[in-house]
Amino acid sequence: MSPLETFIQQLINGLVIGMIYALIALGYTMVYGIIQLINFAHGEIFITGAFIGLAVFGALPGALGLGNLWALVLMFALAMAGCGLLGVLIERVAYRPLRKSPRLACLITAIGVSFILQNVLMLIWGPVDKSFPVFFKHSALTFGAFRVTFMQSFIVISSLVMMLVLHFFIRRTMLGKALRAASEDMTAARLMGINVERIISVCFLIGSALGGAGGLMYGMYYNTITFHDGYLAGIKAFTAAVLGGIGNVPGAMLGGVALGMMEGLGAGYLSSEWKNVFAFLILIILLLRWPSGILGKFRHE
Amino acid sequence: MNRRGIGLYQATKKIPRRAVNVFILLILFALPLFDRNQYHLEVLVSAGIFAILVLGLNVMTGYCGLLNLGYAAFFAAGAYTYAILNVRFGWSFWVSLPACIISAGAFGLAFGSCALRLKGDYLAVVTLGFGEITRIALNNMDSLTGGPNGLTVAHPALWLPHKRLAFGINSLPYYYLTLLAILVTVIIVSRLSSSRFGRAWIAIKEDEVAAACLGIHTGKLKLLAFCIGSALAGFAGWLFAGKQGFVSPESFDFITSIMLTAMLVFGGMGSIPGAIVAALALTIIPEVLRPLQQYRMFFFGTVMIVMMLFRPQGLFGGVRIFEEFRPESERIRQEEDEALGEDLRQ
Amino acid sequence: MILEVKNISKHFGGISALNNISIAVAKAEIVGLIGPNGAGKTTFFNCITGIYRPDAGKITFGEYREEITHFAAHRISERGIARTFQSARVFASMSVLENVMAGTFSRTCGKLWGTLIRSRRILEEEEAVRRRSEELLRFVKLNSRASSLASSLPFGLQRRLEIARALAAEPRLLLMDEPAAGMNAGEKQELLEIIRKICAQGISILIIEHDMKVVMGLCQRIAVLDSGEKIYEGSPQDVQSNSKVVEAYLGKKRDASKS
Repeated sequence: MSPLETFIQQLINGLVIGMIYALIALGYTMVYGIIQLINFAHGEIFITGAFIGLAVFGALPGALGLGNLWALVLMFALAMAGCGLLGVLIERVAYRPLRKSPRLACLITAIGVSFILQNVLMLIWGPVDKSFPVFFKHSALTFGAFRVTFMQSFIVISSLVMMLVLHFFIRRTMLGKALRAASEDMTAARLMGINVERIISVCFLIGSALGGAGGLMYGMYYNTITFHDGYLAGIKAFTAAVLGGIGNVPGAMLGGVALGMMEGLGAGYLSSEWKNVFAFLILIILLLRWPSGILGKFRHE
Repeated sequence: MNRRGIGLYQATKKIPRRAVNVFILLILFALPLFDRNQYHLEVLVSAGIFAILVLGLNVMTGYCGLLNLGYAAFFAAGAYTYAILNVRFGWSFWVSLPACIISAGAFGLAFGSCALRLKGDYLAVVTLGFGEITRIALNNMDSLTGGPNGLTVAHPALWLPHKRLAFGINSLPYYYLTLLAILVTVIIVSRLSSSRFGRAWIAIKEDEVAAACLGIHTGKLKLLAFCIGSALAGFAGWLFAGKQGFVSPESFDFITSIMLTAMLVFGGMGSIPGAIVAALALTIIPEVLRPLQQYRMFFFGTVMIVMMLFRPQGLFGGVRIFEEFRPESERIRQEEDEALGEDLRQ
Repeated sequence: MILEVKNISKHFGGISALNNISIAVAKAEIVGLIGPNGAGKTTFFNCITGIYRPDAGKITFGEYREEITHFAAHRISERGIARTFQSARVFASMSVLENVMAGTFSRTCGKLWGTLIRSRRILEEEEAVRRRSEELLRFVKLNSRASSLASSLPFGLQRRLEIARALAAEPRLLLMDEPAAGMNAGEKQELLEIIRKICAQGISILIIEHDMKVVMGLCQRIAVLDSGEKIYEGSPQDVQSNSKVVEAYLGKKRDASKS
């Protein structure tokens, strides 16, 4: 492969993982946008999605094996539903009582929740790597020298669809409008008769469901997951959210893709051991230099 | 607190503080005479090292309000400084002490001077990233740090007249050394807390604008708190490396940082006895519940959540709560008053 | 003149909060700053004390007319300008005495090393700070509450604590932002006495106040702000009879009655 082809191939790989980051980043950004909380537990919710998907696959009857579309749909539906409910439950139990409390108290609680979830995942699925079944075996599209596996195109397309649906939901529906209003000014929204608590729950539901879908894709893409994968992916997705301007929904999508591509290139050219340092460095430099991200906080006209 | 609780509290107040402190100290010094169990002492030594760390974290988080989620990096700086000096240059344990404190302090100074322009949760995330970078770097700079295999370092030894007393793997000498180290740390922290620096730190965490308007150079004092907290972590790292005789990156991961934060939250921000009691309790409880070892993270997570939900000021706290931990609504009201106050009158 | 503010302006986005304002304060003088709602009085204070950076203009302070326009807040305080806030911002979790002691920070020079070894100089300095702070608490008549928690004080007393804390920074100019707001008549009387005593020590005072009795009884000179502009400056008698001022206030009242 020529250097240019390598470069483009790395970009493609980066785009795929970037789409997953973007899906997780949406959860961070939506929650931060509305209650200014860095939801540390979101990384764990994300990887829970992968575990649920795996469990669902294990429980499927033989007829619904690999390559069956319905198996896939069922896995995604249950993973998203499970994660969404988990997110709402966490918000109810751990964050809602602290609504009037200071922000750092919530942050510490969020870290506590993340610890508990990690521990629970480890207890249920064990501390060792879990291998994922290989979906879409051997199927790849080749464009000249580039290879795009079917899995990769599946990830890109399905996450794009989810993001478009979310975008449509936020822009066009009544609930979406209420959500935007609440993230703009919670007190004013409350005065206008918007049930802010419900909006916050919806935020957690959607964010966590998208995170769960991302987790399932992550598992299918890398074919192996462990209980602590969520932590690192979570931090990276948070970086993506900051990159796009935290609280900014389209920004999170762009940030995820940008981070994925940067990381893809970084991994291609730097030693892979330092790959994770790369994400953390971007995070630190961003927060210090451009805390409002590339697009800045979303402003509504 | 109920009425009886207040009565009890006032009764204890009549006993001079100093007498209580000396009494506790005597008990701690005499403890090995009654309990010679190596394992018990070992646990107490670990708890003691955590106590020093929590006291250091208390200076930056408890007093000055700077939440640090990468505190283990500064702990690592101290431990690795001794390890590298010992392995590569043959420095002895005692000679390395100043180097360990200075290197960790300098580490804190360098990082703090970049990061302290951020506040609250953003600062917390940056410190987290920094802690992770440090750990990954330790893991990958094999030629210097031995990578994931770590470094084996010399245990300390004392040269008494005519005799060399090696500490080895006996827990007893480390027990006394740790006790001494805690004593020194407590003296340092309590003197700082009652000095003009301590007052300025608390002023900053309570209300940064008001503090600046009183002539407090907030940037400089935050950096000082950060630097002293890091130096104390370096001190603990030095002790840890000497006691373990071995350092590896896994002792300094994110979980360690969070565990320390949990201890600080449990004992109460800004409380010296709180920091020590919490370090002891949260080290000993998981040891007692050894069969439930795999629930460790669950345990620490639960401690953090329960404390935040039901007693945010911690076991011993209650007097000094800081701005970042004060109800948001109150702060907003204050800012609004400031901005719109003129409209409220007349 | 100890403080000279020349033509300062401050904009927030497109809104002009202060426009070309000049005010001077002489030594041991009490100058009042009045004006209707949103006139920019607190913004003006924030510009002087370095919380906001003015967009244009010049602020000089002291006998040598040192320019302090773009100084950081703590350096301005070091030069000798202290202030109180509209919503008494005491350090809630410290004791009343500690609050005042915290105010002496820039006037003490104890070094870190001395603090750690508890050198004699440090102990002496600490003792002096304590005595001075207690004295200040007596001055504002708060000495009986020295060891209570600052947040446990009622609002009126928090105001007085703030004054003591500001005085601990040894200012030559004290900016007071509505010190009498929310006080009853007796408390106001005590406050007036305290302010007069401060002035008698040679400290200049710039005071924002809505209570006309306080302003008229206290100030030698009054400046009137309206919508970010200074519309008048003169003696209390002149201000009361000036048509522009009356218009600013009455106009405001008419607006208020309309809405």
